[in-house]
Amino acid sequence: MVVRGIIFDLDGTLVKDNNSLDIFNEVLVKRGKAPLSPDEAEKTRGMPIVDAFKDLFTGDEIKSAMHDYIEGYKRNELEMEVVEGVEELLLKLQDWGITLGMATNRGNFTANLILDWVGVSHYFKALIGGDDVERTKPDPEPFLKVMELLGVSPDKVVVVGDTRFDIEGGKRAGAKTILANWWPAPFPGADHDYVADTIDELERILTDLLFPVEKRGAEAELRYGYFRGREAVMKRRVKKNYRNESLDLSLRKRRTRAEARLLGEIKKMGVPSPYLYDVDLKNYTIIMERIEGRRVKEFLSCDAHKKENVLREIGGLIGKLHANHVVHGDPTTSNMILTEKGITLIDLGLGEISESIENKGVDLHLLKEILSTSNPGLSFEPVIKGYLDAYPDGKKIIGKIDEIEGRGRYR
Amino acid sequence: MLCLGIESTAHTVGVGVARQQDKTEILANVNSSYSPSIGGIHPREAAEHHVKALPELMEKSIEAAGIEFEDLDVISFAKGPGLGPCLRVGATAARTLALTLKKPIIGVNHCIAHIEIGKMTMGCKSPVMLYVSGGNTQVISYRQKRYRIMGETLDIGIGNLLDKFGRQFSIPFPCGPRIEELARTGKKMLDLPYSVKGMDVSFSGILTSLSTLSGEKLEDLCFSLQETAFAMLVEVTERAMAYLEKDELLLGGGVASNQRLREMCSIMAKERGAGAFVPKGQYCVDNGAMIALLGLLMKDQASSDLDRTKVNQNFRADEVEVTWL
Repeated sequence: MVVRGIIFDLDGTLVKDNNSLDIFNEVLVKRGKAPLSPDEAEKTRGMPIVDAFKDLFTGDEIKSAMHDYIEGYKRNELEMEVVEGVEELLLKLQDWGITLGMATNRGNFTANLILDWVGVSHYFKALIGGDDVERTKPDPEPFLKVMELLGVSPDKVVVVGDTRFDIEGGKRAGAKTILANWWPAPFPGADHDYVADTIDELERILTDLLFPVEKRGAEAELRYGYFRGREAVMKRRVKKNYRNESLDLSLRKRRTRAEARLLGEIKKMGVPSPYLYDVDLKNYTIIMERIEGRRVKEFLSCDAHKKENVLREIGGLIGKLHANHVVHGDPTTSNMILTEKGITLIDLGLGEISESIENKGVDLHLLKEILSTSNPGLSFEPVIKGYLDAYPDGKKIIGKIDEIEGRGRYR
Repeated sequence: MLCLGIESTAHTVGVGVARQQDKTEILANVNSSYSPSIGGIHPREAAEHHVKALPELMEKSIEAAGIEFEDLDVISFAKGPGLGPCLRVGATAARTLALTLKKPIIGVNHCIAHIEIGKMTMGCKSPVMLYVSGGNTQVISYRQKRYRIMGETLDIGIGNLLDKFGRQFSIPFPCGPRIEELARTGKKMLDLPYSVKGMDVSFSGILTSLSTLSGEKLEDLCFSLQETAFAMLVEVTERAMAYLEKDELLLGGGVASNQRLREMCSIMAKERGAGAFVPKGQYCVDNGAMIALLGLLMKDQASSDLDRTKVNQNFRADEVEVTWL
């Protein structure tokens, strides 16, 4: 499933307002009724306010109660508690090109007021309130209306909400559902597809749905999706349970940071590499340009002709890096993509900025090793030629290769 | 078809007998290890130990196999890589035996022998092998007619690292088992150099760093040493598996007896949806059986030409053309 749109519920999912009960109770007291205790109010959670009034009043009284309630909102300063991390998440979803909508049982007016108040209304392309529909949640109607406004079909939508009304309504509208389970008293009896206990977890679930895993490398998952309208690759360094946890965290952080930094650096040198779009150190994630092409690894294993040119180009790119004191760190042929415009270098997580002849020598040694092990009989000469063309001072590095090769051997 | 194989690349001398009929099996595997009273292996002393041990080991292996010397069809020995003086003892014994029995002889590669015994006893088909011993640290896999070294140490072997560290802290040789035991009660993860370059590793920085740390408990040093060095090994193995798109991991070499390394390999393999294979202890460490097995696999290349039986201290797995797969 490729998700294109997300429909959020408002109260309890993105925000919790602390004084709507006070405003509600004001209306009751004015009409000689006892105010609701927080426990009693809990039972009305997710229900349209008008329905709550219907249980207490009749006829025109319901209408006037609703009127007073909205006036109360206009009069009172809103006390809002936004769920921490919501704004970052909405920004991310926007960057990823996901259209956002809102379906709430609250009236359209107060819902918009709240979104404005917390400063996130511009993220939402459509909002349907309880007074915009014939039948409110758990009826599918509000969700279907939002989908229509967003122009996204139900099979491409995820509904996120904290109550049974959201889950049931979303499901009946044909969408996938995620229960936002971050308030102390979870709403019972929901038949959701996913459950998120924190905003971080919600982000992980949404990432899986929006950026499906395309490839699993040795240390990272590659996911394909969009970033601000462009095709993008999300590279996420995943936890390795075989290694010590503190080591694991520090390696992932260090490499994510190194890769992000080096992608920018080598671009400046004119070495073809993906554009860096975004870095999320918290999730050990980089979002970058998606490069279309074949890995040099596959190319070398079948296309006999043109090999020499490609090898020379590889040498030239590594030479350019070294001339600018950047060491790739893992220059294997699976980290080079052959595009229509030439070779693009990827995967610089093991790279570093270094002037050391030793480090550059090891870099070249690695390249030589991988070329000779995966393509027996292939000459390294064209690589050296290209390397020296790009890095005339590189002779001393070439001389280092033999020395490095000799070292690991049994003595 | 029966082959007797002699292993003597380092501190262990071993003799094995392998038979190939309908299936291939190991009939005998006996060995003797030299342990220095103080310090690391002295190649000449180890060689002297091997000279003394070999005649009895050969008798024992024949007896254990339930055969006579005359039944043998081919003699094999480990030609390298290894310590020169030790290698020459095995080669000389093998030549003597071949000449006496008038049977062909073949010198085989010690690293490939580790792979083949692992494959045979564990039933895996085309693994990436993490070969970890005193002097060797390599990631090896078959590709286009040869066993290719995908990654290796750029300086010292993992076993060497453990032994050198152990010696500094007066842990008796071989230090691996004692370090493993101490590491079990270590808790504090010290920051040690983590040096992975592509599929290669480098351990000397860890050694230097450990000898400069002061005031840390020995248990914590052992713990951090294992956690760091082993993580490096497992990482490069995984990188090779991803690169080659292989889903079998085979462990081999003396350091493969380490439970923590085994555990780490199993977790890595499991998370990749791959299988991890760890041969029994006697086939992980240096042994004669694997030399005998590889002798059988390469029997077509055995000859009575003794010029071809020179030892090669730096014998690389990728120098051998694989004709038996």
